[in-house]
Amino acid sequence: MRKLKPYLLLALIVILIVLLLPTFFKIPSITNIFKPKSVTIDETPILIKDIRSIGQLITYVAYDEVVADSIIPSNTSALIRAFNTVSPVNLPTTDKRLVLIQKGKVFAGLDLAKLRDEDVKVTNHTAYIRLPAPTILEVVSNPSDIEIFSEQGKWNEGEVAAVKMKAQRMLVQRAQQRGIIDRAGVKASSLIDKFVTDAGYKVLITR
Amino acid sequence: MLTMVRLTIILFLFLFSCKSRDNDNKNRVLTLKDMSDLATVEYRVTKIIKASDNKTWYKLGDRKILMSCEATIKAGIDMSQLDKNNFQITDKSIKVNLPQPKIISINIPVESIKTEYMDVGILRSEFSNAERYSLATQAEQQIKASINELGILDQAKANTAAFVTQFLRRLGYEKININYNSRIGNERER
Repeated sequence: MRKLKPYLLLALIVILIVLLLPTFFKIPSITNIFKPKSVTIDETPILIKDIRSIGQLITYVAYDEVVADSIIPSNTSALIRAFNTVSPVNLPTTDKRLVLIQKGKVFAGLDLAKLRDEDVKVTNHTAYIRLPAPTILEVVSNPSDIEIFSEQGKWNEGEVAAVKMKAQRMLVQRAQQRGIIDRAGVKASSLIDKFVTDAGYKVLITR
Repeated sequence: MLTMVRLTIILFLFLFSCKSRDNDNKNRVLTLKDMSDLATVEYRVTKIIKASDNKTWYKLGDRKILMSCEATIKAGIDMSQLDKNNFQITDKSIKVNLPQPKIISINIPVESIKTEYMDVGILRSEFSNAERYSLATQAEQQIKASINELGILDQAKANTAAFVTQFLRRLGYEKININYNSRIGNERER
């Protein structure tokens, strides 16, 4: 036992050095030695391309999350499927498949820039206002809202963008099914009514 | 001997104990929510995304990528903060105290993200779609961090004042004074 003691002590010191070395020196720790370094982008300037005056009254937003998938069959997939129907062994097809999980916000309201002078008439301290129809104003789904859940095969940028556009259309459809446009119209009328009343007029709103 | 073994085991357990997992904070409310925002200015901006992947010691060769993206940023005011106390009316003259403008939305459309250039070493694989969108997410964070430097809120103030003035003029007011939370604003007369 006494003979083993120095060897055990040496082993312990070596283990401690190997484990504590990454803390003091910039070398990857044993557990992370094969962990790839994350890629970070450089700081680049933001360039203003356009500045636009708008007049959008945003009165409702729908937060949602959808799953969109797409399959692009390969040239040989029909042949492989036909073979699989008669064969006891199922061969894998070479179809491309992409599954996305996409979050998004659908904004609805009125575009008051469409309001013309003839849409606002004032008689005896009463304002008669004809508002434009409510509509979907914007769908926001940024890169941080999108997760590529599964990707089989090589998908180019255009093909991936097409699946994301499909997901956006699903977001809009679901928001519309929940009556976002009607709700946005009612809320907008209420806001305009309140603003004009606070500004000292009676108001009658039509669409 | 036994003591040494015990010490070694305890040391291993201490150093290789399980990491605590990050809590998943993605509790998203999947629902409709009402708003009262009047957006009066829209900025379209572009950003170049530049990245090099040459820091992993065991991967031989470099990978470089240049992408571009566009973002649309809207700003305006929250009309739910207005009530009759924000208006001071004298005959054909009106003073309005508007709330300070804010950023309403930041939108980076998927179709605006494009790969402009990619250089991949022989022993490396191309940037995957997931990797490209990870880089675009970093660009999104940089855009959000730099918004205040663009002057969009000052422009929103000017645009909102102009919009409200035009609306009040349609109602028949001749002298319109717009302030932002007790600051002296623009004075517009016929």
